[in-house]
Amino acid sequence: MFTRKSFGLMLTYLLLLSMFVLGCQSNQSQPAPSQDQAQGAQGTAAEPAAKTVSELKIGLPSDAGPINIYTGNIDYLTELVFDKLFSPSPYVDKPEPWLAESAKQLDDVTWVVKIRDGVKWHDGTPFTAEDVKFTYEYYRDGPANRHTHHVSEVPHIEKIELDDPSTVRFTCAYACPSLERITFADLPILPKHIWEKVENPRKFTDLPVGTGPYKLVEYKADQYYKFEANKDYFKGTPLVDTLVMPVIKDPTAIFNALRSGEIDISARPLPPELEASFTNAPNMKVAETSPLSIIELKLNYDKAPFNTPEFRNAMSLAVDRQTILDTVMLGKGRAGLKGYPHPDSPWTNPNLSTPYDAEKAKSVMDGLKFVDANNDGVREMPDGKPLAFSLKVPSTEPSWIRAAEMLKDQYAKVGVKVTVEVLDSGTMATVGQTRDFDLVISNIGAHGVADPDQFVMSHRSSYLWNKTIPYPEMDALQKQWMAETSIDKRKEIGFAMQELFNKQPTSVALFYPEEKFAYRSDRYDQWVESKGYGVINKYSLLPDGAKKAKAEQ
Amino acid sequence: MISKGAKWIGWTGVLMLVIVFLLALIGPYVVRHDAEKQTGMPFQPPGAEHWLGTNDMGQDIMAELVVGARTSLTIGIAAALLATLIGTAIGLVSGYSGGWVDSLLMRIVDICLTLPFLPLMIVIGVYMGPSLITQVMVITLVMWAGKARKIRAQTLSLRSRGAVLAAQSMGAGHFYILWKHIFPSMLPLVIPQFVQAVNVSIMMESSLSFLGMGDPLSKSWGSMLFYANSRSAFLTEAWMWWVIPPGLCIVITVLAFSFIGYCLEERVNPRLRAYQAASLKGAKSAVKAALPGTSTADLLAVESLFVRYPKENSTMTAVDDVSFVIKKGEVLGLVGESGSGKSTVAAAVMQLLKPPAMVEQMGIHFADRDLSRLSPVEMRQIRGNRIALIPQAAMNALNPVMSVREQLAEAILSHRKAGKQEIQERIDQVLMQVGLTPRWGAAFPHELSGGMRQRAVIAMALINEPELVIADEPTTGLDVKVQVEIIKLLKDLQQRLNLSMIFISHDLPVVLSLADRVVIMNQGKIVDQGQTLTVAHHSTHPYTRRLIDSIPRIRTARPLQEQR
Amino acid sequence: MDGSWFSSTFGKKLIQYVLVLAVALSINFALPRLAPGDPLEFFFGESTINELTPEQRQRALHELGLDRSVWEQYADFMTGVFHFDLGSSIKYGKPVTEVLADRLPWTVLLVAPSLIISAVIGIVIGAYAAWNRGKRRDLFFLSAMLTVESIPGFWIGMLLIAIFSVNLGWLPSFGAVPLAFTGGTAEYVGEIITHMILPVITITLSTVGGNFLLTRSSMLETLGQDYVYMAESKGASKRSLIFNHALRNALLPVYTHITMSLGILVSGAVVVESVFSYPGIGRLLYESVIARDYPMMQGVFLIITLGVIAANLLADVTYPLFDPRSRSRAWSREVSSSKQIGEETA
Repeated sequence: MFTRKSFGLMLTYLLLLSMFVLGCQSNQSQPAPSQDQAQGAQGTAAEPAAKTVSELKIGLPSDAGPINIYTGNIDYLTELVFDKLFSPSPYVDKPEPWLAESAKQLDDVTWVVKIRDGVKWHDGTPFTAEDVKFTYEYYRDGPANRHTHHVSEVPHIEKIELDDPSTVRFTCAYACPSLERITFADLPILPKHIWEKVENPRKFTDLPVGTGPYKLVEYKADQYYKFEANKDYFKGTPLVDTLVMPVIKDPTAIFNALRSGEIDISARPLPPELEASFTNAPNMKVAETSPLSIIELKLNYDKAPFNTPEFRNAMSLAVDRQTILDTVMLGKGRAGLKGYPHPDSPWTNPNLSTPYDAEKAKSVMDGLKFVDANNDGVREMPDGKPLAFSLKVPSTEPSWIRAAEMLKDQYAKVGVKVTVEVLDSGTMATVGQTRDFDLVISNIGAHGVADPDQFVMSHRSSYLWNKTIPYPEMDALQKQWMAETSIDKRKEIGFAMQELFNKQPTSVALFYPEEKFAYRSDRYDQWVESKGYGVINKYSLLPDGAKKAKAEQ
Repeated sequence: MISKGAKWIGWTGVLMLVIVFLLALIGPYVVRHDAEKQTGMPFQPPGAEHWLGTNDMGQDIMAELVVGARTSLTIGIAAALLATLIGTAIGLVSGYSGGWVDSLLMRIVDICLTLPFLPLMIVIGVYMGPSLITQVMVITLVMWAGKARKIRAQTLSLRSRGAVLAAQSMGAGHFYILWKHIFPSMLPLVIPQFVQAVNVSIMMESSLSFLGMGDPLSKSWGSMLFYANSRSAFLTEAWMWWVIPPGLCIVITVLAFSFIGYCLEERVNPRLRAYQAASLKGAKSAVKAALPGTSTADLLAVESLFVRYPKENSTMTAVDDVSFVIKKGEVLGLVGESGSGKSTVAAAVMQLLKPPAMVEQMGIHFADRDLSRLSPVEMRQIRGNRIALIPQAAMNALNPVMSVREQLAEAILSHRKAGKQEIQERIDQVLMQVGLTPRWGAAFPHELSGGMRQRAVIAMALINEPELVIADEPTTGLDVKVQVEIIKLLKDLQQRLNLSMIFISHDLPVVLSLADRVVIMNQGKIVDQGQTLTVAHHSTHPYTRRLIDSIPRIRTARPLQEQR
Repeated sequence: MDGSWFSSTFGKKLIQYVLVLAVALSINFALPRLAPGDPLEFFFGESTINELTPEQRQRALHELGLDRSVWEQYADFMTGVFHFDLGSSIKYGKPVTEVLADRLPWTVLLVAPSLIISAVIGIVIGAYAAWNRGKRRDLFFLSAMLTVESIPGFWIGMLLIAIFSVNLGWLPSFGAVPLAFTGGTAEYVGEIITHMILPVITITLSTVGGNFLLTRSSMLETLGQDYVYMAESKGASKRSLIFNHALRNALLPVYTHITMSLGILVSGAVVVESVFSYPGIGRLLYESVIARDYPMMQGVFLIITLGVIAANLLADVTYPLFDPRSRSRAWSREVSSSKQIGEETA
């Protein structure tokens, strides 16, 4: 009798279980893609008659605060609210005037900028040259943010004056040929009438007032942003009336939401493993971009033996970047064989090369007398200390952890012992500052790897080098660079610096990722890439966006 | 005795656990691939080479799964062991010592219970580096306090038990008492705690790993899910071989421990064993053909009563062919050693036996009705109304959360409608009859002494003026002085109210002093019966003689001479 | 219950809890600062933080008030707590109390119904299974509940999302309210409820097993007690046996368990809140830990600590209402002095 009972119980159980499994299974059964929907989604900017949309929902993978550039910064969001003198960015060959009407270089250290007339701040106050002067002085003298060194150090703008109510004159401390192409195209202009009253910009949480195409009308930290179109925008009325941007941090959740139609585009790039399922989905397209960012392996130049240039070279030679890319990125993107900075930047030397050559790495180390004297598989330095390093990675980036595991194996092959250490991102952030590391994997964005002034700056600020540590060859090049008045010649000196850097790198480019953004094409189909900003940027939302994004007008 | 259901659950648990352990122990030798090596292309679906496909790094998922079993089990068992050990030690010390030590330790426990474990994980993780040991530490830190609190509560209740108090009064050392008296009785409670802790730690490990706060470098089921989730396995087909297997492994392992824990708890926790489901029909009862010719003068006639309990493969006969009668106004003494089946007889008469007991009788005739043939509703109307029971262990026979008066009122209201006034008057009356001033009615049981509680129980039995009272060892657990008082009271009441009574006891002198007739039981059988004096003085039955001879001289003589 | 009893017992408890609170707060202050890292990354973004020069970094710390000595910060924090001033969140730029007030209702909205549903289901089925112990339904409910309890919460959540929002499209998968909602109040409430359903189911499922098991075993224990036997022998109805005698006593430990879990659930919803991107306290804690937002972390800790202590206090204070054994000290003193009288009337 009991067996019958237990049998019945088992049956009920199995039934429940199978229902559960089936319930999940049906999740998989997507309709088969029809042919016309399946054909990819690149080249979206075929410029049809601009279609306006009343509301778009954009899923954000992280929160950047109330778009106060002193308390958090995501460039593409800042760009929606604020404008710069020139646009779109320092990463194109020739930025076009935006808040400026024109810019003219008077001599090696002097520029005058004519300000556009008739532009208004979101609160109705007219935009004037005073705002420009205020902003640049504030950046130069006030608290630091990601933009300020473009005024305070490289280059250093000494004087900012108004020639007349619509003309600003900039005078630099040393030659500044790049002002128009870089500084003017990078720094958002703040409203003087608001910011002069701000006591502590780090604690300023009012909604921002800018001149940009969108006004931020609502912000709930960690929950969402809501933007309304600035109908009087001087570059044309934006095509979408309202932008709602929920913050969805969990990667699965954000793509779930995209699939279920709760959002129209995800600002989190589509991971390679999901590409197929989205390109094949109905009403869905995938926009491909080539972001100006590098996943890099940083070597702590402060510490022995990384202060030995040849050893840094060996460390670079030992990395099989292609295999790493093939594994963790499924081959999407490009292996870091062209070094640092990003090869797509107009400011990067096209002849850079950082090949994989384990044999050469070994011979370089042999040459340094870094040999495995005690036959334990790990080389020792002449003082007997083994070449054993820790490699720190943030726990939030599983693909980097995988890359780290691969690096460990690759270094083991040349006799260097690497121990992977996974840290939470809060801890990771200070690691770079306190410089308490041997090796670390991080991501550096457009501002770091596509802006030539930043490359110099990074050698001063401690990111790639510290200005207090002597580096004779680099220092000489830097001196030459600063004295150079022609932007083209500067570029050449920059190339030489890059060449030197990659011969003994303090940062090894692992790969140049590619980013794809999945979106609902039935909701909005005019996404265009602006170099360094992805497809979610103001140009995608403006008439003639494609041209503006590339500065082709 | 442990129910078949519990056994079934327990064995299912053991089976599942064996599977998981096999997976952990021999799995790595069976699966061809090394979990740490890239043995294929990333994101491969299952195939002949990789049974469960490959992960985002091209590692074999099946291999990860078996290595993960080791990690998850190790973390689970290690953390549970530590937490249970610490918790038990602190709980024992705290509960046993009391006073400021107890206060201090419990406040530390309180503090630990308020600590948020997420930042704790980060802080400890940073100092110790994310590793298995770190996870074990954190999980232990989160769990021990709860365990300590539970164990302390148990220790508190054990501390006041007889054996402990006795040992204390004999001057035994604290450590000795803890080790010899408290710890052994605690062990049955500690083991389920441990098993439960294994569950919690396995779950916690997977949650921590899922949040990315575990050790992503070690292969555990939790970290597999972390990678699966962060590499969007839920959104592609991969969830079937990447998300379901580790999740299922967690569920099976946790479930195995739950099942075993449940079974252990059933086995070792005596308090849980007391109750078996009351089938609405009561115990299985079979009526043999009734013999005619019961005398109408008999109030109760029990004919050929058998009670059996299933035992392993056979049955144990607790009551074996017992028959007796009681006349109106008569007191029948039912005597026997403990385990002789006396109380079972009482319960059988009241129709209160529960499965698995199997009852057979030719009839239990009470005032011309066969109780064994009554419906549950009819029987309920008789219980407490016409036949009342004064149960053993009066100390616990009162519901602790109801006042005496409420419980007395319930006894009345279970049988008839009555006005408030009437009820209160009857309660006062019956309380006075048993020697309690009516104001005690408002008290809760714990506020009464043992003797007073027994009086309240007697009051409850008498409140509906029953025709028959069954007093089942009514003086158990009372001190001698009170025993004498209660016996006196019962005798007094019996005479005043002319009650018919079955008086069940192992105490022959007491029975002899009370009963008109005695029935002597041994091992479920009636071995002797007759008029009290006859049995006391003339019985030739060896068992009866042995019982009577064992009574100290002074005591045998006196009651018989004085009373009769 | 006379005043002196109340003031002595309650007062003593209160002092103990204040002490616990003080120590817990100090630990909560120390904990985040023991962890390495600081809030600066949040301000500059991952790619910029490393470009700061040491001077700029120092200056930013000064602007945030983080360059003062730990003792100064500690004194500030402790005095602040007593003025209900918890400082200003670094990340959100708002007073901590404001952020908490913003988030707490959501967590309560999630936790309270889950707790109630899970308690009711757990108690009802638990009592039912206990009453039917050993039968097929008992076995069924027992194994079902143990199974439900064995499924990790995040896993339930993810599967629910996969089924009900991605595949069926019935329910939203994230957040607490529709974004930028324009409809009327009734629709708004409706939306809040649809957003609650999946997380509430998840929390309910992951807590119901505990309530079930506790009720069941507690009920089994009371069902086997002598007073239930006594009640049965006095002819009490089945209803009264179950409810007045067995369940009423069985619920005492269940009540304590549920009250205490009130406090813990506030912090325990971290996993569910992150799976559903729900803007509650749990997620706030996670976010603040990641951002090293010290004042915010302290605020959340404070809420959690207060929650746990309040739940304990609630359990302590309300328990006597249900269990007379723990209430009447005054009465039993009186009783013991007059015990003799009672006995003498015999």
